[in-house]
Amino acid sequence: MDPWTFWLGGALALGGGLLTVTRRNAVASVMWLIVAFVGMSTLFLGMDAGFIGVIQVLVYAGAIMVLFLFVIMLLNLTPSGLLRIDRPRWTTLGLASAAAFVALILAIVTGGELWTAGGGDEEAILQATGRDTLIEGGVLDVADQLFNAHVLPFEVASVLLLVAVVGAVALTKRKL
Amino acid sequence: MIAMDTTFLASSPALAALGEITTAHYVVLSSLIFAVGLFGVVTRKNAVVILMSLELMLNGANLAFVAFSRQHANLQGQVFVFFVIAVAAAEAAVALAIIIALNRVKGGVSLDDATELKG
Amino acid sequence: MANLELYGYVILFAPLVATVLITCLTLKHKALSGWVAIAGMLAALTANALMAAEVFSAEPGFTRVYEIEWLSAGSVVIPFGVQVDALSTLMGLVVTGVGSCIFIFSVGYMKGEEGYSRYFACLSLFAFSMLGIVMSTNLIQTFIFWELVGVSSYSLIGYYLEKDSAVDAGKKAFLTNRIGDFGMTWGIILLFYTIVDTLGWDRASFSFEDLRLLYEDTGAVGAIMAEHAGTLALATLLIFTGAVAKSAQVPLHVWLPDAMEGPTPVSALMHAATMVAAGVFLVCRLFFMFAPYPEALAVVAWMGGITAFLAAALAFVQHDIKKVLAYSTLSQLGYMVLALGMGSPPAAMFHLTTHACFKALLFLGSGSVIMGCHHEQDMRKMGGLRKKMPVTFWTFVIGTIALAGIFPASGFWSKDAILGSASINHTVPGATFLYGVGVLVAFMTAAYMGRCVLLTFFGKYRGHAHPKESPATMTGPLVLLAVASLFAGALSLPKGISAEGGWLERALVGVQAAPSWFAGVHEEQFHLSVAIGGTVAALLGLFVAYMFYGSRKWSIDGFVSKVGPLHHLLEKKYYFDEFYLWIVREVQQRVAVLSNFIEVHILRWIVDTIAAIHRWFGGQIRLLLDGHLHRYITLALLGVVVILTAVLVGN
Repeated sequence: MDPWTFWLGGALALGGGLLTVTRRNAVASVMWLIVAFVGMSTLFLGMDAGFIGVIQVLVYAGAIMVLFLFVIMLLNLTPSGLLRIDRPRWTTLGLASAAAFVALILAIVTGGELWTAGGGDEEAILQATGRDTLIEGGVLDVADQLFNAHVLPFEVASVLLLVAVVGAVALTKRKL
Repeated sequence: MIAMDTTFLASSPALAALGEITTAHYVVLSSLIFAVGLFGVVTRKNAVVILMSLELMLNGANLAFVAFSRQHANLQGQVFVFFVIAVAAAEAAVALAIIIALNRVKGGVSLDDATELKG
Repeated sequence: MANLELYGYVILFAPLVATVLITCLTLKHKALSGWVAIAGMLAALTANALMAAEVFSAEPGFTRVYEIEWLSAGSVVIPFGVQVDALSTLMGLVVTGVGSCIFIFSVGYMKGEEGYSRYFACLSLFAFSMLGIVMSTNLIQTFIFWELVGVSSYSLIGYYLEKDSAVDAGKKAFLTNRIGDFGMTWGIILLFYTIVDTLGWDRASFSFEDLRLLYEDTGAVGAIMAEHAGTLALATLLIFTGAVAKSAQVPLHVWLPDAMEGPTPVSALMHAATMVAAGVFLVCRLFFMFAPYPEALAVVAWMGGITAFLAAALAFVQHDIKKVLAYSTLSQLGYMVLALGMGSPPAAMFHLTTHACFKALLFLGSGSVIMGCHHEQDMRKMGGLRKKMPVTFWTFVIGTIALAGIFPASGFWSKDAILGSASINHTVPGATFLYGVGVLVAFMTAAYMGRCVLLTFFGKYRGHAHPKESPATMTGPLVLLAVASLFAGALSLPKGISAEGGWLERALVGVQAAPSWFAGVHEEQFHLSVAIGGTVAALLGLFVAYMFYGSRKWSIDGFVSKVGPLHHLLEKKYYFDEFYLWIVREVQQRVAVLSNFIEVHILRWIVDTIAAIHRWFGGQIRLLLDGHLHRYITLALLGVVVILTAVLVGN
């Protein structure tokens, strides 16, 4: 794995994320979230997951976040509270839990062989899985999976999206 | 896929540690992104920001999926991420519709005003 | 032969298709609904006729089973399919043939009714259910259609939804049948359990043909079966309770007279010709299960004899023309069951066939009369209809002659076959007595039918309507059925009249399972003494009816006053309804009160206590859940952290 994609993408994703959740202005949050998604996309590309990396930008950063922007503008939101963090009392507990969660994950992965025995090493992965080459998540490869092995879930997802659209219209319409 | 000459990293022992990226790195990063999203959900009032934080949490999980997909040389992890994104899109559409409805009913999008869901 | 499977499925599903079409598409178009139903029925009739042509020209005992695997659990497979043999073909012909006549008759009879389409949908559904029983290949399939018949019967008895009595009658029929079905369920379970227990899962099956092999085995399996004769006989009798309820034998007969609340064609089709014959058919189908146990057959025979007599007596005191026919049906079903008990399924099936013709004829005739009298059913308000409704009159008379068993109408031959089987039987205790009962019932049948005809068609008209002959859609089926009633006897002329003996008996040879003791019992000989005895009894009956109701030389009132208590007993229908009411009011009510006490004061206390404990805990915990979503999620996260920690520490 290329280290620079990890460090660059990780920094973008984490930094963008942190700024997203701490901005007073929701529009600023959206912008930083887009930065975070670009970082995520970089991470995916670095792991040869090309298709996911592309739709991360196209669908997430492109489509979904535009939807957010529209809604924010529609609601004409004013920046919330003087404090960026709205609830100091529960923040401590939330922060502590989140930190404990990360610590636990850290403890779990560093204790296992993911950390040491060539967790990212191409040779080791090939040896462990008995394959000739590493997988690549190109459009063709993912499409092959989607439309052969997982065609039913795929169709179900399309129905879900349709239902979501209908539901969104039903929720926002004043009078049906 | 994207290649870059990283041999310079190996020249320094300190940088060498940086150069060896394992699946565990990705998992820890994913948990960090998840925790950041969680932090946002817990601390913010603004429903739109909370929704964005949720998206961040989903992305944290996605990262772990792709990392393990690579580790196990199995594309199903990526297929799953595809479905997560589809579900996230559906969720965003419905949730934003709910937020608009909430704004109409409560005159704002602060979740502290919407406390009907209590035991 | 390949077509047989197709024919079978067409017979089975054509009425269902009609039902679906009517319910989904043509509910609004009344006339079309009727014709769709008739088309479905005629399709089934055609397929059945084609099937008959092949089956009856094949060698005796011809049987084909076409099945698909429907349900499987472990090694047990429950199939679904059609069994094509002489028995199912004959019964199918009765259902589709009589059914077609009645469907066509209904077009005229039901004209202008509110739920015309619903009526035809239900009628088609009934035909489907009935044909399902007829074509069934196994006990489970039979049971399913058995229940379906009950449901469709319920919906048709209660057809006049706005009439309380009709709705109540529907419920009564359904509940009474449930009692029989309950027994039948346990019979099937006991039978299956016994076979699994003794012969293992490999031989376990619900299919008729598989069971038959077990019962007719003469080797090791047969020996094991013989060892468990008691249990198997019990299972057989339990299954028979289902037949008792459906064929309305005493003491589960109470629903049938009430079922006359339904439209008259329904009474004709279901409560005279086909549905009530399902019990008789089932016993024929399973006769190999009855045959090895003389005790079981004796129970069957006595039950039939008792029903035949008690019901015939009740027919004398009815004033409603349909009720007379209803009790007559009970009595004739008793005859059929008697024949089964005497070990002669062909005689029972023969009588079933002829009875279906002439009883459907009589019911449709009564329907025509009722229409003519503007929905008046009381015979005291009829009379003198002979001139006004000539077609109805003559066909009704033919039906009466057939039912009374006067030579040469079909009833003569089939009744003679039953009496013949009773006269030579030597296995049923009291067979001679039952033979005497049979002859007595023949006398009574002729007498009450004579009364019915004389009251309805002769004398002076006592009603207020202006009766006139019914339309052609109604008289047409009457004429058809009258012809059938006259000549259906030709199906099975006994030995001594025709050279080869009964055609029907030869065709149904597969039905007979013949263990050694059975030899000779089912020989269908023509016994001159039996025939003369039966005919004399019938003529005597007609004579008595004429003296009372025709010439009025004998006084009815004088006769009634002489046998006062007996008359009262008959008027009260032997107090069966009162007895059941007493059981419900006294016994069941007490049990219900006790159960209620246990439920309220013991069970509910336990449940309430458990609920209270949880409610207390919940009350404490709910303070945490104050509606702030971020607190919920923080708590959830805490939970995740705790669980992860526990797992990590545990490892």
